[in-house]
Amino acid sequence: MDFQWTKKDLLDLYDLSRDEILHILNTAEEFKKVSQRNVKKVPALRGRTVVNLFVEPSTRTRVSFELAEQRLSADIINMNADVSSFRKGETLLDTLKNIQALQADIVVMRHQATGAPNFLARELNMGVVNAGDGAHSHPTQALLDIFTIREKKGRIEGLNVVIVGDILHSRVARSNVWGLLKLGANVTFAGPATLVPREFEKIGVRVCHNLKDALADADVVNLLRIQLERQQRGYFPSLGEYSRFFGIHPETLRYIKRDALIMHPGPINRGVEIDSAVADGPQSVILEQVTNGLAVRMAVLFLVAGCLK
Amino acid sequence: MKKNNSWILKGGRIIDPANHIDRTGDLWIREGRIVEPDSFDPALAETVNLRGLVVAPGLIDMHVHLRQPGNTDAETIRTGTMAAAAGGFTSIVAMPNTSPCADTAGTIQYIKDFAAREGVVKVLPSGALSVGRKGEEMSPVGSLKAAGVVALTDDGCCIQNNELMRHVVEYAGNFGLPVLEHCEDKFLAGDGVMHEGYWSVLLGMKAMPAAAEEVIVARDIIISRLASWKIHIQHVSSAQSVKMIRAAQADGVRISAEATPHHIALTDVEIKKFDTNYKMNPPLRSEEDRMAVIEGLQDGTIAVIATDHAPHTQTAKLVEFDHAPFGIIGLETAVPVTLTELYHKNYLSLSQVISKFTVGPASILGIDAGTLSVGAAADVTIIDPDCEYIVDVNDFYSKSRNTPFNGYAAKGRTMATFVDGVCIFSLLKESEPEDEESK
Amino acid sequence: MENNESEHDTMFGADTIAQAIDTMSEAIYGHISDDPPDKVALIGIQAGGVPLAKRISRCIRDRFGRTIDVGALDISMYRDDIGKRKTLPMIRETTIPFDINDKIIILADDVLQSGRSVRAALDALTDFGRPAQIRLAALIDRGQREFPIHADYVGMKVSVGAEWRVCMDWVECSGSDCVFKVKKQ
Repeated sequence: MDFQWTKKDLLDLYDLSRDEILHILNTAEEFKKVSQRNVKKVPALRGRTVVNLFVEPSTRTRVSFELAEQRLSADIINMNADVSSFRKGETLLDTLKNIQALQADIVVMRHQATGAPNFLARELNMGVVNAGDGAHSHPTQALLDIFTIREKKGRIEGLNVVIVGDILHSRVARSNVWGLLKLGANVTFAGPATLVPREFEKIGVRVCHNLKDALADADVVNLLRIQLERQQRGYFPSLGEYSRFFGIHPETLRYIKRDALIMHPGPINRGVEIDSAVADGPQSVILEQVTNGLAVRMAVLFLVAGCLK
Repeated sequence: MKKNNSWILKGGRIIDPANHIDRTGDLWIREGRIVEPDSFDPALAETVNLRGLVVAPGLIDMHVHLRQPGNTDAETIRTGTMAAAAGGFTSIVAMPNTSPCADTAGTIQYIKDFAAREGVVKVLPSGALSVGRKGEEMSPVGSLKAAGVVALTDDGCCIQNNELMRHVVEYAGNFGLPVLEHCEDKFLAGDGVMHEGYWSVLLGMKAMPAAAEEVIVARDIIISRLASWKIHIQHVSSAQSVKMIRAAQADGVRISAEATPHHIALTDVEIKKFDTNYKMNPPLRSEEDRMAVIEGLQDGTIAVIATDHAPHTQTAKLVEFDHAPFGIIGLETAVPVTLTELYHKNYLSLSQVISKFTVGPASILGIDAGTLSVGAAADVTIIDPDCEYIVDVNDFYSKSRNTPFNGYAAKGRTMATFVDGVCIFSLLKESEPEDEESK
Repeated sequence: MENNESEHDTMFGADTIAQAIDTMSEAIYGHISDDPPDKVALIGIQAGGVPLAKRISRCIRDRFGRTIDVGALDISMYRDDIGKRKTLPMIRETTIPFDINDKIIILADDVLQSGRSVRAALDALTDFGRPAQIRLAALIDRGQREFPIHADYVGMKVSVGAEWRVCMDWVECSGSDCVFKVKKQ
């Protein structure tokens, strides 16, 4: 009856079974309670050392992981993009081997090169938690998104979840889709044709290049951040045009379900993919996503730590 | 001490596609040349029984990176030719992307001298099409021909300027030098690291569409016709490329093509392992593309199999997928992989497979090789087409280890290699000891 | 209570268990009957202590008319052997719907052996607040302590060899009430 977590790494939701995903969510529920107490700390990772290796810079995700690690009583080493060893030409593998020799137990890494965490997980004894690699995978973001949906809607199965924006370059979309499909949701990707490839139909996703059609029966709308450089490389003519045809505005709320959730992984571009009124409005769960992110990351670190030798 | 170069190879299955021969028989070699059977006293030669084995002309690989001069950490002329010998190759065409680039007579001479001293198989140098392979100005074609190159190529790079390409091809035609082309539109390819398709979209990797190759294949077909000279397309990987080449050939354009063993055996699904031993350019493509390449080999559109042997040190390859250099080694896996994937899967006959390594490349290069005709140099490869073994990278003679085929269950293996009648490699139990140096 | 060292796995059945709970409830009530109503609470240690806490509470209510708050506490995050076991314990629900400050908390666990679970529960409780007193109720005390922990209320003392593990099934979770022993792997 007890479910057993057996993986020393969390790299991708593609590799996880439905039961494993549910186990993380259930575990995260208990960790959420810890953050609601007076003493917001547990000794679960006492004596363990966690390295935060953010080769691709990030503030929000890194702070969330750091806080999760502190609340688990772990010792933390922060290594950021400007770490001088990379400039000296030391390879990523060598950097991590050195850290492993210092007896660090887990590395939480974000890297712009796709597959970097997979490569390290193969080569190291340390636990590897992927905090985002290239455009490929961001499992803890997807898990906190799914946690939030489940908390608000009571289930995932049968829900219509629409993810809007630059799907092509989005690791958030790619991770979310595996989690959602495995838990039985109906997933739609919406956005301009240049940014939402039809290949995704082959895995059971509905691809839609018209926002109104996409949102028709949506229970959840998850908006992705549009990056300025995409416009500079010619994927769409201007941010204004993107916002007009694919942004969420107060008018949009008139034709979607009253109880549809509005989500965003942050940071939001106010006025581009989402208007302030919507981001701060009653249907938005953007801030709760942040709270849930902490609980999910505590759960993930706890589970991964339990599988280290 | 002079090594023995007279042999009587008895009872093997002699397959010589150039002469339409496929029969059991004896091959007589005297003083490094193939001679008529019974034309000399058998006591003057060593006799070997090769029953059950195939006797083929020495295989030719017209696409090999020997890395010397310049990047001898990954491979040298010596280790590269030893790997060739172990693979069954007696002649290899060396690519010019060395350091310095092989775009001057001096560098060609260096390569030839080194090969003569240290190489164990015949090294045929190629020269660059453009100076420094930069695609800006024509290289000194005439001097390169005089220095002894057998072909011209910018392999690894591709001339983007169509007018320059036209002039270079015309000029090369003047000197009778084959032009070997790595087809890649560098803008469409961008900074892609794998094939653009289902898997690149799923994995979120930067990708190169097949169109990047196809656009230049189309260009080269047109330039070949305009310049009235032949162009050979290297490592064809896309279904549309094969289709265009087939139509061009039917239309009388002098376009030829080669395919690599890895494009015959593998597809882009492998990339989900993020193993850099599957990263090369052109990349592994879809199953439809792979089957189209096999069909091209079947109907003769693709007349050559060449390895694009590209050694890289472990340090260079053991990095994140995005940062790893393109390329894998191939000399020592070409025979097992092509026999397993093409012959044993009944796509090609044994004779057809051998022709892709012999008469195919020889006729495009216009060299006197790839046959067992009487009077020809005794470059001979002995193959056991049914030998089952597991490929082990630790047995390789190459200095590098970057192959996706470590652990591959192969059926078919090179058993011995002769260059000018001297046995330079043998796994045969009876006569020769292991890999010998010649000269 | 009996010591049972026969080959049979089952040691005690539903009747014996019910009787033991009855006896414990009486003893507990005897100690707290003079305390103000909200002063005492029961907290069951997940997983086996939770049904025990609920039954004791029900028994005290049925027999003596006294209502006692019940909570559940999961100690997985406080264990001292994370990463050393072959398998990771599953985190179950922690629900303490009352303030534990200044209260008499009676921790409940089904089988008391090394005392490590109780040690973890004590640490966990102190992160929830500062009880006036903490007492321990264990249905089975099978000895083999590794920590200086003792139970204030014991249902049955059991003495079997160290090669056996003593376990409980509860009808709420597994369909029947049963104390049994299994050979350690």
